[in-house]
Amino acid sequence: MSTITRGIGAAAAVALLGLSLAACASSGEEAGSSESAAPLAAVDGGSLVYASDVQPITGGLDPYLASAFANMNATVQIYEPLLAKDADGTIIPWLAESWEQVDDLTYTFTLRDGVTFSDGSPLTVEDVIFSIESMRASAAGAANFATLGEVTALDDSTVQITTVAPDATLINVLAYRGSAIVSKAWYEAATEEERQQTAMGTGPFVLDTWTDQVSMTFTANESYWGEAPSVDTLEFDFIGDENARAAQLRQGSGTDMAWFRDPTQVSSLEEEGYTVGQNAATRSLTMYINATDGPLADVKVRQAVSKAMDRQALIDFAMGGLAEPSLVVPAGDPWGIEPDESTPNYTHDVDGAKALLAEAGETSPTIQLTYASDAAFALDVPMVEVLQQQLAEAGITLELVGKPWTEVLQSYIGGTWTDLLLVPGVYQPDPASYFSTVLTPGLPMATTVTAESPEVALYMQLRSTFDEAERAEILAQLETAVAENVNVLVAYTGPQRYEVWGDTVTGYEVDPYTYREGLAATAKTS
Amino acid sequence: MIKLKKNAALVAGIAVLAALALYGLIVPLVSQWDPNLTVGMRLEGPSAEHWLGTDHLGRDNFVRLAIAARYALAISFISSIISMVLGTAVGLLAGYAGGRLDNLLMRGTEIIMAIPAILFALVIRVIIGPGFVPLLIAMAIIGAPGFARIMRSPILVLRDRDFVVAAEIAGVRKPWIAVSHLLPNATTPMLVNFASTASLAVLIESSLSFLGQGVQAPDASAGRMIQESMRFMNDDPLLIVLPVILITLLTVGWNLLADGVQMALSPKAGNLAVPTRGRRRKKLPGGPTQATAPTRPEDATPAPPVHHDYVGA
Repeated sequence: MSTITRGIGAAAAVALLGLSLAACASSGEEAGSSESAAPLAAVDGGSLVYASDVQPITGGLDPYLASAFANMNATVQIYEPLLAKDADGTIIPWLAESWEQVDDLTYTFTLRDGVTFSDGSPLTVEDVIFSIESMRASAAGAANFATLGEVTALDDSTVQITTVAPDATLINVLAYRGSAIVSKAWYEAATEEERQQTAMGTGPFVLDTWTDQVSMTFTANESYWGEAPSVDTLEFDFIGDENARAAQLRQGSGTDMAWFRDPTQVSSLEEEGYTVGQNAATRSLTMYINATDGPLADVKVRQAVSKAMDRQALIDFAMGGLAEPSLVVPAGDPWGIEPDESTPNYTHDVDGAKALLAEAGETSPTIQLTYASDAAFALDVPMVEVLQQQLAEAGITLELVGKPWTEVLQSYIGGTWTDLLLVPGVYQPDPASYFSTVLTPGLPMATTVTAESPEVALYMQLRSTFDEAERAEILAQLETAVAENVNVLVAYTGPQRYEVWGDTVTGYEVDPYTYREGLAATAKTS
Repeated sequence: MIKLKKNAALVAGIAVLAALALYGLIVPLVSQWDPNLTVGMRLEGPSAEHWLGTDHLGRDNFVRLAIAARYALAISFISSIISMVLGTAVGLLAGYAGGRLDNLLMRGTEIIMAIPAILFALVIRVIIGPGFVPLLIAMAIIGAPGFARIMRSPILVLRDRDFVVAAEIAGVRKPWIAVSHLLPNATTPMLVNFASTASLAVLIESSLSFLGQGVQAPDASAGRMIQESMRFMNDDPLLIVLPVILITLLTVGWNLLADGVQMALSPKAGNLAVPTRGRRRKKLPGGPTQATAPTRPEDATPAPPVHHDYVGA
């Protein structure tokens, strides 16, 4: 168990960081629409232009190399998984028209008839087997498939997957948009460069051109198995500066939609009549704890820090109120549980914090918080500044250490930071995935637990329990246990991006992961 | 003695910088507000309590701007001093020693100058780490090559002058010749370059802070204040205007000082009431003195254009 668990945790740490790198790699803002009295009618065809902040980073469009947010929101237009999730988080059929869990270790998937890749070749069981094996072999996917046993074809349309241990996360992982199914023939024939710069999948769009740092254009996949996209072409324009993107949208010169991270700009645009998508909050400002030495080795000091935090004030000051208090599973995840007064150590209580510090014999501890000081993370800095003030009220001195993101990343992976390390999180396919890095004994970042810790037992139970109701109960217990022992500190959770559009498009619906899945169903109005 | 009445640039430069220094030193001491604490509501406008309003975290802008002025002045002044010391030593050594050492040192300075200043500072910051001292070191290294080149240029001419040759024949040790005979004759361009280097240091510090790699949170810096306030520039433009004015005043102040010093130390402009050579002669030990040499600052190679020493700044 421990080897598998460590493997899961280690790879999950890398995957999570890869994702958060791009999730936070840049910021964007835009403006946009005119006020309209009534919704305009949809028209077929046309070109939809979406102003984005950043293009796919390392790994490009290769779904097995790239797992960053910036990559995912481009690849989901082209590649698809076996299963999918609806807005409520319910798993629904996708490339597999049905699936069955035969026993705790065995699943079968029946492929949908008539699915073809954009080159016209049909989707086969060989493609599915190849794709899943490729995911298992990839650095980003290894965490998600650590318990995977064999993947075999039962017939021309049925694939059987076995696991070496009961793993309730697997089905969620297969419904993750990152678990892309590729054409074995195309993928093997393409060079590494071609896989990253071009793409060929079963999705609603086909990549047409990608001009580095300028734009990426897609055309509708004429042989798409589902409902064909309403627009003829889709264009992602890469404009790094938020104000420039806002101006682009406001000008009405062709940009239909845009996204950005700054809630202040969102409010302005909303006042101007633009539609703001209600993107789910999955970007948690998570502070990882190094409890190997220093004051945070004492659980009472950790609890005091948590009690000294006024999370609502952090949200109000740092995010203008546009974020949510959150436990480890982000508030916007369908599995997310809202913290309340009964949540241990979550209620702001300065006197309680001081009492805990006195019990710990640390009345005025000094704690270091390392955070990314790059301009791309500028929206996170107000939080640490306010936090410093809040902790000072309880007698805790918070030393702020700003470092480039690359150094923060290295510290995290190596477990070499002092006291606290701020690493923004991203959406994970399964609720257990959010805990893997801090509750897997042996990992550098799991410094607050041992193999005997009750949180670890609950975490393992969550991974191996299939019944959803039971899982929810275990998850609630786990969240409470983590809040009690303060294995990690979450300041708040906000969306990865705020999506904004005007009245030149209609029918767009945001997805819980901010991957822009809804673009295929979006139509132009003019 | 410098004739201040005829040198408006010098007076204005000193006045601006002195005013900012007083503002940066005194206001944080006497103000009732802590520059890093929330003391009001978010984005308050100017009022009797908060003269310049508050920022996005409810901190007093008037005090934070004073801290920003203090940081900018301290960093520009101290880093330019270090740059001058380093650059002078390298330039003097290269110019007087000549040969391979000169070649080696000058190619080294060219390499540093060939790298855009901001990029170079970022790399140094990554290597050394965050903090005030690493920032100073980065800025000092960036500024030093300019001083080295400006120092070397007159030294190349002066080293063959009679008074230097005479000193060498008289057995005066070379380090002493360099310090007591050559250095005093090359000070004017160095002083001018000091002020213009400080001016550029203000801009580089602001740029680094804007990029998140200069002055760190929660301390205030003009660059950081601009970066933080960009989000609110539609609703509260004052938040951006204030640090921009501060940067403008600082750079204008240093540049006026540079112009003023140049004018003041230029005998052609007639601003020097008393030549410095007369006093220096008595202090010099054995060997020929400067008085015996017909060397005058204006005889030396003209100072290179000091305003362009930061490549890519």
